[in-house]
Amino acid sequence: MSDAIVTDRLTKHYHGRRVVDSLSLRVPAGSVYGLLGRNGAGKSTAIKILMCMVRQDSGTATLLGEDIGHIADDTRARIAYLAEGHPLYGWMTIGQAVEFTRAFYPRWNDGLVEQILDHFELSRKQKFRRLSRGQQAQVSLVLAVAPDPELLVLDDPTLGMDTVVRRDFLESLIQIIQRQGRTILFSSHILGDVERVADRIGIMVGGVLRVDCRTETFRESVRKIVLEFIGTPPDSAAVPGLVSCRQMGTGLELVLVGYDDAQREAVERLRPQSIEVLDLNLEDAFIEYTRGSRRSLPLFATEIEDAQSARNQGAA
Amino acid sequence: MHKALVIKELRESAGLIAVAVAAAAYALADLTGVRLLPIQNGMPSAYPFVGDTTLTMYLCLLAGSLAILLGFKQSAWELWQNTYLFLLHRPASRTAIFATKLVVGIAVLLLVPGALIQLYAMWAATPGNHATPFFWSMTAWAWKLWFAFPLVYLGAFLSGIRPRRWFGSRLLPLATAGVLAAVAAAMPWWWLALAIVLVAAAAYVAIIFHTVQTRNF
Repeated sequence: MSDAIVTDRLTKHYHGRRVVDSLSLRVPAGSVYGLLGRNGAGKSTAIKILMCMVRQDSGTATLLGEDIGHIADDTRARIAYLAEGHPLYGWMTIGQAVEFTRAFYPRWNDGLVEQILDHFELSRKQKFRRLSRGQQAQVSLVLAVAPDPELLVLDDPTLGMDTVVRRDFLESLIQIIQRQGRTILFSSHILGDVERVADRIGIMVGGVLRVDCRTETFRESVRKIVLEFIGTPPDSAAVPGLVSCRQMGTGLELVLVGYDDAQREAVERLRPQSIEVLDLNLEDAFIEYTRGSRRSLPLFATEIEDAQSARNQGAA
Repeated sequence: MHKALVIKELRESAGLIAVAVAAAAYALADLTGVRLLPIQNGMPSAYPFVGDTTLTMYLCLLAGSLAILLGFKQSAWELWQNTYLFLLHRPASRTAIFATKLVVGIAVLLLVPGALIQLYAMWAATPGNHATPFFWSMTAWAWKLWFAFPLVYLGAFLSGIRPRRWFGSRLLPLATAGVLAAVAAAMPWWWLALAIVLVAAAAYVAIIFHTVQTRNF
């Protein structure tokens, strides 16, 4: 399977701060890739670099096989981009926005536009600025999918929506995506959204892509180990693959990437009175992972199917 | 695509254009002695286009304000609204998108004050409207002034699109364009005025295209 998006060491600084740090990413064609991270992690900047809205300081990237600096108009017509906040002209009606956008594309699916507008109960006469946040997202989605794009890039598409609208929007998105088998890259900081849609995830922490693997791989690899001691707990820094460590009285909570024999032995060397291994759901795994010390986070930088590999990268 | 962009630019600036047309109509009425408002004296210019400070004032106010407001509206407004993220992803080159903006802006800027000069000149050329002789060559200075205002527009456009932190340096292109436009309008030789405006405009357009290709949105 070819890759729809390939980036190689993309780096961007803002005012001396590295907001995207050596981002190397591959999104296979036909996959749905969720780019996660807390606010300020560099997701939007990375997406803006891919969409040529921001120029990288170094590194390269290709979309549908073309260098982002020299994307032909024909190729751009095959790529849809929903920017954060769904910026569109507030003075336009939905009908005017459709007509305006349509003028740029050689392919335009009028039937699909009508179908989606009807599904979302949107009238062509409604002005964009009078729509709710959820409806604005729906209009943006209509305009994005009407040219029948091969690649959709969505920057936090559910930002600012309430739970019900978000779920409805995502379900519609899934339907539209699955029908065509398109490649999707979308960023979010809401784990529930990602769990529902993405088959691969990337997690950015402090501008660095710390995780790039299948969703289940990440969920299954991050574990919480609760240790009880008699007296003060010892220093746990020697445990490989350690994400975070929290002392709770005489107890110690360790969050580890993977939990194999070597890690088990390292934990046992701390001589705890009891060891409890807890599985985490994706949201807890994400929270525990991203609130760890940024520089020392273990990496999931490639497809990691075994914990040993994950641990080795963490040690690196 | 170009038609859609032109319509979008015109619709987006429709309010501003409407105000400019109303102001031009008011100025024309005032210059030709048509009393629209009680504050007007209802007296036409005694010597149309000869030392006509009223026309100069109206042209500077109308074309100057329109040039600055339109320039900022077409550049900084979209930046502020974040709509460049939508517009610049369309399958069209940035040069084509911004060239359309500039062509529409300059066309509006030339048409509205140009209509004021032309209609005023036609009124002045009509026998019976005033008691002084009129030759079309008397309008040359007004057209020279009119021709310099697109420079102010380009300066405002560049100020709106150029990323700078400090307000003063952001307005530098506009201030420079204002000085160049004044120099061109004051030139006694039309060919020199024309050369100043064309060379400066070409430089501004080149900087605008370079800026939109290289800046972050």
